[in-house]
Parts: sequence; C-alpha cells; structure tokens
Amino acid sequence: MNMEFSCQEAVPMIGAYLDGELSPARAALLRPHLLECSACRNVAADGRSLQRWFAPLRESVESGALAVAVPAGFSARVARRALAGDRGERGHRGDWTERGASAREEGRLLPFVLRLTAVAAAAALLLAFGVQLASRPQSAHLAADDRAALPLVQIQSELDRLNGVAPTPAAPATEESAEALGPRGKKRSHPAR
Amino acid sequence: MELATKDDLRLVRESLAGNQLSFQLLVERYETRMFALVRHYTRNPVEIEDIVQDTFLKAFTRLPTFQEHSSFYTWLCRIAINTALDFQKRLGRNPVRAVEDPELALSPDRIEGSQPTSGRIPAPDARLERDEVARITQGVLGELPEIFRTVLVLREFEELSYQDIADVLGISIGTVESRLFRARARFKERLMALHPEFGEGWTS
Repeated sequence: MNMEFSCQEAVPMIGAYLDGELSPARAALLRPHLLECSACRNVAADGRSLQRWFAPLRESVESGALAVAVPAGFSARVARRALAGDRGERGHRGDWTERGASAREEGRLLPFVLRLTAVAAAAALLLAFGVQLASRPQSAHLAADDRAALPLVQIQSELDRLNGVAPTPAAPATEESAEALGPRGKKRSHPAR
Repeated sequence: MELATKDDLRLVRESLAGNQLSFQLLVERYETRMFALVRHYTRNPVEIEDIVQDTFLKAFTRLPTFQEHSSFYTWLCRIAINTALDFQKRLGRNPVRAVEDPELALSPDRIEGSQPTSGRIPAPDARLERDEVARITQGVLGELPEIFRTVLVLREFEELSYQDIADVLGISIGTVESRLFRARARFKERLMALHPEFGEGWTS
C-alpha cells in the first residue's frame, strides 16, 4: 500500500475522480492507492452505485413521468410581462401570496367578480334607499294630494253653488277621494275648506 | 463550460433589442428544465410557476449583464436557484446554511461515509421500475439540507461540470468537490435510514 497517501486523503477525492473532475496530477496520486487499497475500491464502487440512483430520476423527468407540466401559454405570458417592464422582483415587495402567476390570477377572477357584484349590489341598495329617503315628504302635507284635492273641492263648491245647495262641511265624494289617497289622518281636514 | 449556443446568443441579442417573440422563444427553450429544477425546492405547482416566471423576468432585466462567452443555461440556473431560495426564506422555510449545520462544520474524515470501511450502498435493484427508483431518489433528496440538495441536483440532475457548479453557486471548485463529497455521504446515509431494505445483503 502507498503509505504516503492515506485513505483519509484518498476518500474525499474519489467522487471527483469518478466524475472525471480530478486534475491529472491528483488522479495520478489516487490511482495507485486504489490499486492497492480494497477498502477505497469499495468506496469507488459505492460512488458508481450512487450514480445509478440518480440516472432514473433524470430519465423519469425527461420522459415526462416526473416532470412538472408547464402551463399552456407560459412563455408568451412571461415574454409579454418582461417587455411590459415586470422585473420579477415581487419578492422584494414581500408578498408572494397575493400576486403571481397568471394561472393564479385567473383562478382569482371568479371570486373577484363575485366580490365586485356584491359591492355593486350593496351600492345599488344604498342608492335606492337614499332616493327613497330623499323623496319622502318632509311634512304632513303632500303636495301631490293637495294639488289633486283642490280642484275637487273647487268643483264641488261650484256644483253646489249652481245647484243652489249650501256648501256642506265635508262632501262625501271629497272624503272618499281623500281616503283613497291613504291613511293619513290630517289629510281628511283639507276638503273641509 | 457549456457555452451558449449561437441560437441562444441570437435570441439574447434580439431580446435586448426589444423583440418579444425572441424572448418568448428563449423561455420556451428552457422552461421545462427550469420547472424541473425548481421542483427540487418546492412541490407546490403554483409556487413553482411563480419562481420560474420570476426567474425569466429577472433574467430579462439582467440580460445586459449576460456575458456572451458563458453558458446561458448556467446563468439561468443561478438566477433560478437564488429566486427559489429567496422564496423559501420569505415563507420562513429557511434553507440550512453551512454555518448552521453542525455536520458541515466537521472535517471530511469525521463524516460518515468518508471511511472506506463504512456500510456499502447498493445500486438500485433491477426489479424496481425506473420511476420507482426516481421517486425514492427524489424523496431522499428532499430530505437533505438545501446546501447538499442543490449541489447534488446541479451535478447529478443537471449534469453540470464542477466549474459550472462553482459559477452557479459562487464558490470555488475545491468547495464544490468537498461539498459534493459531503452531500453524497449524506444522501447515502438518508437512503439507508429511509430504506433499510436496500442495505447490505440486498445488492443485485
């Protein structure tokens, strides 16, 4: 055995030797040791065995069995974003969970539309409520009722005058027409004029 | 070193001139390999897509700094690995660094596997299907600290030279060699721990 070159020196070099990455000078040191030392030859055999564990992984990915499918249109999307000035530095803004791939953005489209619809519906409700509030009468007198009632009172008075009938405190027709306007108590006094 | 192909260089130059289609072709050329590489850092498809997308976007931004005599793929690998590690950090999945791993601080002769008399590792049984072996290997790789996983992936999976690995990781060739040695020892140890049935006496 080459006593000038110990197993402890040889073992860490064996991987690089098997990889073909050892310099000729170092390989020249290792080779005679391997010829003499069966223990180090076993290490080299282990190294070759290890390589046989990795080859199937490469092949499985290359064959597609263990590959990650690239989403359709990925390259076009990335190129478009790159040319649009996206620097791909979302990480510096510290938020990977809210932004990202268009696949995820597309996945969030439905919830976004639903949220938008909900907000629009709420806004429409508020608007309708506001319009209703604005159009509510602010006093007991309803302008529309008054305008509708006045001519009736005048017509009744005119009819009574023509018929020579003394004006009654409350004409039934007028009362009915006032009733028809709704259950608003004070309203009833108007035709009495 | 694997140099950028003439086609790569043409596409890089056209991309720099603002040609969107040329950059799209560059992405198309390497997207599958990038998705496979990043899968060693996360199994979540959305995260993988995010990381690969950011890798290409960063690459586009840094195209003016790309050295034409170097390998475009190696350059891209470096961006992808750094992006994947940044991503892990942001999610609180801090990859184990050399200084944090007590075993990494040990001298090579104290690490299991560095002694010639250590337990033997068999080659995968011929009865195992290729994809089954691949899944076992992937599972063991996933159990390794990031620093070991990365160097093994670059060598065994991406088949990069030591010089390219040194370029990607920004370390010396000597460090690549010793890190690979430790990584292989750790892989062997984890393989035996997770699958004792593949131990001595099982050899095909």
